[in-house]
Amino acid sequence: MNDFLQFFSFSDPNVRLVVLGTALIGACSGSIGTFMVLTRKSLLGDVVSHSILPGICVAFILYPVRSGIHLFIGAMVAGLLSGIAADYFSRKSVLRPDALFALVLSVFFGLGVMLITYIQQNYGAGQAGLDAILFGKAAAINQDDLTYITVVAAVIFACLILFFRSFRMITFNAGFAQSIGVRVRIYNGILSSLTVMAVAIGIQAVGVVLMAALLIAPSIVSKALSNRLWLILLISAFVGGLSGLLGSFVSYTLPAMPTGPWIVICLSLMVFAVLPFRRKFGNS
Amino acid sequence: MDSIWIIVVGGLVALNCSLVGNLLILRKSVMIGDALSHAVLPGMVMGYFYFGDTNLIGVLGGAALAGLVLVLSIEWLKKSPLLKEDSAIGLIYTVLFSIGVILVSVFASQVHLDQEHVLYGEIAYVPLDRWFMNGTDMGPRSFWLGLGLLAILILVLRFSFKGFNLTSFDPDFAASKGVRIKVWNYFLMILVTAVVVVSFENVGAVLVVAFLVAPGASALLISHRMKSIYTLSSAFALIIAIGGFFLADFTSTSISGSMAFFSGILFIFVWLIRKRVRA
Amino acid sequence: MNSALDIENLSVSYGKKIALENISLSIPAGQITGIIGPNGSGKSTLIKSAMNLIPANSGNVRMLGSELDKVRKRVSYVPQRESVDWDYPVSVFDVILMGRYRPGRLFLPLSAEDRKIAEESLERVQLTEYRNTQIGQLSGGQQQRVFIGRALAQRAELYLMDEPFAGVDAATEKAILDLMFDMKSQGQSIVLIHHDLVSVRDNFDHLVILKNKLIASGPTSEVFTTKNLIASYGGSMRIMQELDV
Repeated sequence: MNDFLQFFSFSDPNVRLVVLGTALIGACSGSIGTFMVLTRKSLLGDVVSHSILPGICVAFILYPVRSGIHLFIGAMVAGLLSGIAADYFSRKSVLRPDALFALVLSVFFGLGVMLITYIQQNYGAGQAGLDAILFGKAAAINQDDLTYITVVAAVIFACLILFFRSFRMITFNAGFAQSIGVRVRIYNGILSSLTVMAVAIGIQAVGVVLMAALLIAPSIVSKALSNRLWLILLISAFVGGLSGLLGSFVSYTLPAMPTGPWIVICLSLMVFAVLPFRRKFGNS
Repeated sequence: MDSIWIIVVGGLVALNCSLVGNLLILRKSVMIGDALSHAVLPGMVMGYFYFGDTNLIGVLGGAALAGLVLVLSIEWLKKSPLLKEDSAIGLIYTVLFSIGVILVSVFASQVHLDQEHVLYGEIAYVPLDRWFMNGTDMGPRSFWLGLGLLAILILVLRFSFKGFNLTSFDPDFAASKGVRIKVWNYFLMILVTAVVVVSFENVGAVLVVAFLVAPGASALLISHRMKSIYTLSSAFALIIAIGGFFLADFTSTSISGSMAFFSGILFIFVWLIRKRVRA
Repeated sequence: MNSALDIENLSVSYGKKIALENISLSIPAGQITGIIGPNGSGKSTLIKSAMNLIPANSGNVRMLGSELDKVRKRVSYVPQRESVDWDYPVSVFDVILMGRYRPGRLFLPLSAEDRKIAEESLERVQLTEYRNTQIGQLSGGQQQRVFIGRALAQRAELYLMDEPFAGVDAATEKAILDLMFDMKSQGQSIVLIHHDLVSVRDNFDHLVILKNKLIASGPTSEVFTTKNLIASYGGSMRIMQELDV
């Protein structure tokens, strides 16, 4: 209880840092993930988040500091590569997306695991601290992290507001959008890049393995409460942010615990709480 | 000698996974296999906790229970207008895996799993965990487990091949003949769960997926005959185990990670030569 | 006259959307029956719910005078061609053999008799030269013939076919029709979903017209009228003029 008061009074500047970081992370993933759920591509988020691991490892090997913008760039590159690979092979072969998603996910992750063992041998296990990337460690967010998280979040929100109509159109009916001259490929590219960005900052709190939940679950909650897209996005962002907050509380009180699983459990409780609702309000 | 045991056990894991993985690929439900490979964790931890590390029945039972929870809750959630199949899978497996990870952290002292172990296994320790019969050293326990499972799988698939083929290719037609689609689906889930549990300790949750999908996917690139798909994917499974081991040895990195990565190299290789070879 | 298919008060809905409302009809045995109606009029739903592939809200279906479960062996269902993945690694003969599979004997090998029947069916749909071809390499018409071949291998008495002429070239359409007349002359009943109104009068003995409700069911000469077609398809008179009904 003491912990609870101390945490939620936000008097500790460190707590403020972590809370702000995780809330932003949750809000980004929640809103961007909504589009993935609407287009039934939730599992692509899973692929991208697992695939980020080797990117982070390579970035660390090139510039061995645990946190910072270079890890984010490594994550972006690997995430985009995996998305492109999954897309390319599923367009060009008889294999279905589900098989290719699983393949890309596990191959990238396999490479990541190889690199993690390499780092542990060459840089020392504790020093690397990369194990936090697997299951997340919200409390490890520092001032540098918060800076780039904020910048990335600003970019994501700005794009969401700027391209709201286009995103709505291409995710609802891509064929129609194409027919009236909307550049579907470009907007899809932007949307995918934003997703990778959200994932790349999200792993700080949730870790690569469970990241999919932070993309999927908030939009399920918001779809239960509204059927207007802009409201769904707002609620998703709020739910994502809230789960980040709860996750960082757990991380604060139980430092040995990975944060990711707790965030996922918070999210799932919210989903189960709204399941019976089915849009009873906000139905205008 | 240790290296040989690791390759042999890796080969068995890959073979077992590829046999059920082929069925998952043909049914377009690979993601269910991925989800199962994560979801069994809480069941396994509880099994270890209540029945001890060496009691296979307890671990298998716990895992099967968790697998059942996954399959049933996906089916239940799909009925809600809020979730489609993909989001239901993504949600449930992450929840179950989260519970598993939390349990692993809580019971860290009582259970021989740790957070990294559940992701990528400990195949390097395979030769250490030996099976003694009447005091005689019979070799690594994982070897006998994998071999036993392989024998069971070959036997089961031999007899259920027609049923899986019919229900995967044209479920509506199968149902029109009175074949119970759901029963066959659960049957496959049981097989996948068994394979996942036995493979889990060796290669972990994520890398099981590589073995489930890579051999069959590579085989499908160059063949569209069921028999050659099974032959090719078995061969690929063994190549992945051997190639992955030497890659790990050469780079001195994680063996299971190398095997998963090598499966990607194999896939790309088959992709590049696919127009020249048609089996 | 015996009836092949009797439906009483069948209602089916998907969520809140009503697909079929209170359908009652009787289809005579030994004839070729067409089911027509615009897209979304519940044609496929009718067949699928009759085969118990999708649950009905209410209603009672009897095939060949009995409950479906008692006569499954005597009934054959031909799904829409698009309903399966044609990249699936099976050969033409593999698919036709599936007609001989029986639920209780899936674990046992097929008999020589089963194989003989499948070979005969392969010949009847004129695909002998494609026996070992992977099904994805076939043309649309050939793929449709594979499905009909599989149905023939079932040696049924009642055949329910979902759009057997969809995406089929003229030559194949003729071949399939000839086959159907042949089957009819052997006393078998065929019920098929159709969407080409032009060929209705020449080929179907009996006609069912749907628009989520039953518009008409009866001998083609009696129910294939402008009034019924407008009730089903709406007032697109151009179609009617072309048909000259």
